[in-house]
Amino acid sequence: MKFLRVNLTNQKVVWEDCQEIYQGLGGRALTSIVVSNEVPAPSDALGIDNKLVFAPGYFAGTTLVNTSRLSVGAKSPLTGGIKESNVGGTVAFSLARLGIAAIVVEGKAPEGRWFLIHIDKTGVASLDSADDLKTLRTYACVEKTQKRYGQDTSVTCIGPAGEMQLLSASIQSTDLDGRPCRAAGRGGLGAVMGGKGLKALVVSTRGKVPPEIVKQDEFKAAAKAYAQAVLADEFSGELLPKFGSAVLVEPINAAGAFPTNNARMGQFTGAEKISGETMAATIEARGGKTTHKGCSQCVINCSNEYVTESGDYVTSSLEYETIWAMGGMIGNDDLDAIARLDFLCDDIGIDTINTGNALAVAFDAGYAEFGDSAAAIRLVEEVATGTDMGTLIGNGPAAVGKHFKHDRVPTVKNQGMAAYDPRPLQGMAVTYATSPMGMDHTAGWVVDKNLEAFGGTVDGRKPDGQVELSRNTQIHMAAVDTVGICDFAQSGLAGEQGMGTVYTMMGAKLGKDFSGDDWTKLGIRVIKAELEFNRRAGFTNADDRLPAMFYNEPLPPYNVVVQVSDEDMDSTFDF
Amino acid sequence: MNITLKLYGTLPDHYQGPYDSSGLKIDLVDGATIADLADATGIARQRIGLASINGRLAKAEDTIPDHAEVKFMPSLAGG
Ligand code: SF4
Repeated sequence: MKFLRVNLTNQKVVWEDCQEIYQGLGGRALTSIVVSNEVPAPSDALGIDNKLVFAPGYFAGTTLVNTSRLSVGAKSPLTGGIKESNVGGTVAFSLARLGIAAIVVEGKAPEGRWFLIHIDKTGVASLDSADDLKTLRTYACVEKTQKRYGQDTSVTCIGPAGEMQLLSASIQSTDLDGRPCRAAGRGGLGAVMGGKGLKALVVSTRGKVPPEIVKQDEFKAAAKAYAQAVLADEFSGELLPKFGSAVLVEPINAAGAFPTNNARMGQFTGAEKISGETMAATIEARGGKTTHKGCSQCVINCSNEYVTESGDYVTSSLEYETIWAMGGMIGNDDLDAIARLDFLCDDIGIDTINTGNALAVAFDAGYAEFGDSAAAIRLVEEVATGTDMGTLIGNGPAAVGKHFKHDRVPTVKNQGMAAYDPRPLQGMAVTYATSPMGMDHTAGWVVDKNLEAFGGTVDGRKPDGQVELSRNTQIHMAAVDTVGICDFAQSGLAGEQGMGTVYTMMGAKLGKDFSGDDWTKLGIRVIKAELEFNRRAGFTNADDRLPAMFYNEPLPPYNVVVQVSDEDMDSTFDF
Repeated sequence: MNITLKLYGTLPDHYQGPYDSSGLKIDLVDGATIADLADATGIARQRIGLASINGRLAKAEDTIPDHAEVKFMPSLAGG
């Protein structure tokens, strides 16, 4: 496996052998360890010293299902700390099949110049001019790029928000139908890409380099068992294909953990109108697709194609987080408006989660009434046109709160919350506060373990046991994001045998024994690198706190506040 | 007493009768619990991840008041 280094300052493209210290790593481990080793922590995230790293998961390109995750890492301009954001689609599989372990993007293009990285099917890489793609939204950017390089290319690009270096700018990547609806949304990494003058990464999907696996037969057998477990599971085998992740709306709302009207309430009266069940029925009645394969190697098909009443395409892969961010969080129960907002965010290239938070803070501060979906659509359109208000929204909830002098801002390390209120699910409070990534749900999703009905053993409304639960899950997730298994395919990991198959695959690929201990060590190594970077960037324990609203405002209907003490928060990663 | 039961996810497929999204009107004996209701629908209890009564989470042994809206939801995982 090789590293590709691309320097925008002098436009040099150099191949390197994978160094010894990076052997056996992929995904988040590679992005985080490279960033931690090579980026000066106090440097300007939008400046010449930051590096943007793209790394497919360690299992990408193999026969294992649901392994098409690409990790993107850099110092985040939003949080000021290290960031890894991962995305599905076709790019990770394509890179892995070209024998590429990582692309490290360095330097900064001369003012006003735009470039794209192109890698053809034989693995020849070039840095080509992208001046003609400047200001294009992502759907148009993909269309033009594929005209130039062919339909058999995976395009990962930024939209106007990334070009303007807004702090919620995402990096969008094409799905199997060539639509840039998959997002590395979190942490403003699109702004880092924009700061470098890199508009797109264009990769041939025709690479044929087989991934290095020392014990092929062992790997194949374990991969097959894993796939069977994913399909046999009710959630990944039945619910996700039918309803997508939006099937979470009703249960999370029932748990009183569906942040509504800028997290003033934990239940949304309009939840039924925007639930996964309603969405599936709407799509079906209109002739769209409720089951849709969004990423290479996927056997779950959690994606969808949302259409208008007359059957015209609106957006793809409308999922739970966006339905919440553009729905309950801003008091909007109009599913068509949510779908439109999802498309706009993908097209302009901004994180739906951070943008929903920004709108919610603006509405809470009195800019518009909660539920005013027309105002939400107008504001998101303004992100692309660069009005003062649009720029504010594009810079996220903290910027909006500062502007309106409004202190109900649900962020940690400047990053907006995800779709689970931490008050009735206090394990999420620990994850939100302590993750090196800022307020992030995938870093340590412990919702099921906080709900007795789902077999959880920890009471979500109490602080007891939450630190340990979050710590273990965060370490586990750092390893999952390293091998690059889709979150929704984690059903294949359930139970001892499930984890055993992963250890077997790791061992088979590496050609040495790999145990549960090695898995934990891998996760810890990643988190340690991230924490060390953040410390060097100036973070202290005081940054691992939730905003006051979560400690002081009891959340209806269960009227709970976060009770995890500061001392306990600080014991999460005492290494 | 009369209650309304709403089913989510794939639970309607596991109910013996026809189901539409406005829910089922069910006649129950006074003092019936969530577990009794689950048994009355024929849906295996382990299929029901979460139950709520009038918007509040409920346990198997909780009794259902007259005119309540009960929801049964499937088990979840996610991220
Ligand atoms: S389950 Fe969804 S997100 Fe995961 S690989 Fe499949 S389509 Fe992509």
